[in-house]
Amino acid sequence: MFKGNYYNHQVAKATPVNIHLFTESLQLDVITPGAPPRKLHWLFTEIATHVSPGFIRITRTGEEAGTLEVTDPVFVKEFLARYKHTRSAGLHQLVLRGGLKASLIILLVIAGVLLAGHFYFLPWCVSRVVDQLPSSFDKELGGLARNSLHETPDKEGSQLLTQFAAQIKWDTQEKLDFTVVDSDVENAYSLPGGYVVVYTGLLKKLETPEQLAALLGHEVAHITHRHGVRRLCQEMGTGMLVSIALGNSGGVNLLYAKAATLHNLTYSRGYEREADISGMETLRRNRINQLGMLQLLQELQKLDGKVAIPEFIRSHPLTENRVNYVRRDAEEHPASFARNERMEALFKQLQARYH
Amino acid sequence: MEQLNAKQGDVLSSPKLSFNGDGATYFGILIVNALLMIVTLGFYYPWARAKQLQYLYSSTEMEGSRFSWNGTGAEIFKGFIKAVGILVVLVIVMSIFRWAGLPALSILVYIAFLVFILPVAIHGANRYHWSRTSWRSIRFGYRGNRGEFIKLFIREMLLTLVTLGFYGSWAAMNIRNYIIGNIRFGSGEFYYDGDGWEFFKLNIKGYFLTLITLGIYVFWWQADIFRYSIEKLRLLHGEKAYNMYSTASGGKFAGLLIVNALIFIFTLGLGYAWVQVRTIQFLMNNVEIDGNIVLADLEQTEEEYRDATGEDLADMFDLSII
Repeated sequence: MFKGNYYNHQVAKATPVNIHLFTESLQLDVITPGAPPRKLHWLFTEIATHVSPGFIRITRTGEEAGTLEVTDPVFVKEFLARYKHTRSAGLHQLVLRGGLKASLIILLVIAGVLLAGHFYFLPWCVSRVVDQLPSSFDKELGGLARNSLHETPDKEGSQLLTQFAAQIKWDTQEKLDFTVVDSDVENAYSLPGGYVVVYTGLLKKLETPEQLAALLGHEVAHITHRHGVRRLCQEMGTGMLVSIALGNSGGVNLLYAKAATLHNLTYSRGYEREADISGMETLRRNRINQLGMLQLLQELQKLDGKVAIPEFIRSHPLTENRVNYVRRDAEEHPASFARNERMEALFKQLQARYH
Repeated sequence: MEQLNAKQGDVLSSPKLSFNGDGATYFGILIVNALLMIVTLGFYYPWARAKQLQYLYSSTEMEGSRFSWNGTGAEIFKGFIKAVGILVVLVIVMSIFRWAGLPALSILVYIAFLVFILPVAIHGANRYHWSRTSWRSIRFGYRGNRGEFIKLFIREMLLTLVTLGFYGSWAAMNIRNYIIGNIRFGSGEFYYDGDGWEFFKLNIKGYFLTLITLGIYVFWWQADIFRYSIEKLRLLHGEKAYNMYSTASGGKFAGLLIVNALIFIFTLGLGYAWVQVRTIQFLMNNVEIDGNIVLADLEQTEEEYRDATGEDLADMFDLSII
């Protein structure tokens, strides 16, 4: 026998009751001083429950509605043991019973789900989504990013670079836009929608037209493979997962907030490798010496030693590894090349301008 | 202090409020909610909210009996669908106007919508929320009239706008008087006696002293606001009444809020559950009720109201109503 309080749904009066627990029902003996106890029978099928640690509320709905509240942990345990046959215990109940340890396990599971989502599920979704997006989306996004950067292009230099790039046949329908920006930073980047920007700081370090062609090949490959959009969608997806977990519904404007930071996104090694290999293909297709890529990487490696943290290297994981696979790729695909005098002349003009 | 209409022979009582919840359990509930929301891409939210409220209410005790929140995830979900429907209609109407070359009209529709939807959401949220709250099986309720409240709300907002915000204190008090004055606890009626001028003075004093003391006074200001919201509140039942008092001082608030901030920061936000539990415990421990109402006499008078649309709309606008 257990003790509890009974409420009759009519007045806020707590009536003490004695409770008898049976296999499929409860019996409440309502104690009224000076009168024989009134007996109430509640079948498990007629009741709803709410459980908190050490507390249970049992409500009988329908006619003769009433509520029973018991703060006896032993009763809660014994009642649930019988009641459980008719109802399954939810995850919440398991955690309530398991305490802090169970919560921490769930926390780990969440971290696991988020990580798995970030590294496996999202990239898969993102590539499906990006394949569906029209190329006008890239253009708009890139334009947005460019306008928010406020970089003043060097007009004449940009013209020379554009003419230089025109010597190369690009494997894309996209209209490409090449710009030189006056800055000491040794960097180059591309934006979705066909924007390629090279800083004069990096241009100064290049010694041969093949190196420049390789640099452009690498950057254009980021555009043709839509790495920027992929990366952005991926970040947004992760942001949304996190905000779902934290329970707020924001995140819609995230896309546009992120667009502004497009130019300093660091690509994953996978994307860099794809851009390198694809840049090599571009060089071979245009009968440009593909060793230009190798020289470019070596040139950048030299920079690595001289300057503290060159921008271009920081955002591009330049390792022995990268030089190695480029060299291997060149060995696997031997290709002939021819001198392009127009290209050389344009490169000389660029060099004269910036050295 | 004003004398109650106490009759001879009435028994004075002072029911105690307490909170039995603990941070670890509450953390468990929130963390399971988070997991289920991730797995369902957010669709579990209504059920998560119901679970959270059920736990918080069931852990709150008055006179040895727990409060109860009886809403369900299904109700909140239905409300959410309706709220989304309302927003979709708005977007369609706006884009029709824009498409027809009437962008000004489209903006007008948007403003009109905001002006109307806020009071509608507040009204609906109160109706739903109080109807789903009970103690010893006696339901609370909100009996405000929607049309009346919309008129009141718009008038107060316009006056606040016209006076560049100076009327804000009066607006807040008039709205609070109306809403609380319409909350029922079975046959008991709540009553709030807020006064705009008093509230204005309180806030002006708090504002300037906070500036002068480089922010330190903010805890005392908070204590004043809390005191004002508690001590102007009464529960009336027939001729009987309960008065409420606050024992929270600025020093106590400082202790609570500073420790809360430290917990939150050093657990990188994971301590949110403990922060909330501490806060609720603090509030419960610092409210005193006394008067001659006999709680067992409160009768069931309020109907059940299961439409959670207002609650969901309020949620979308991030209005924290209760």
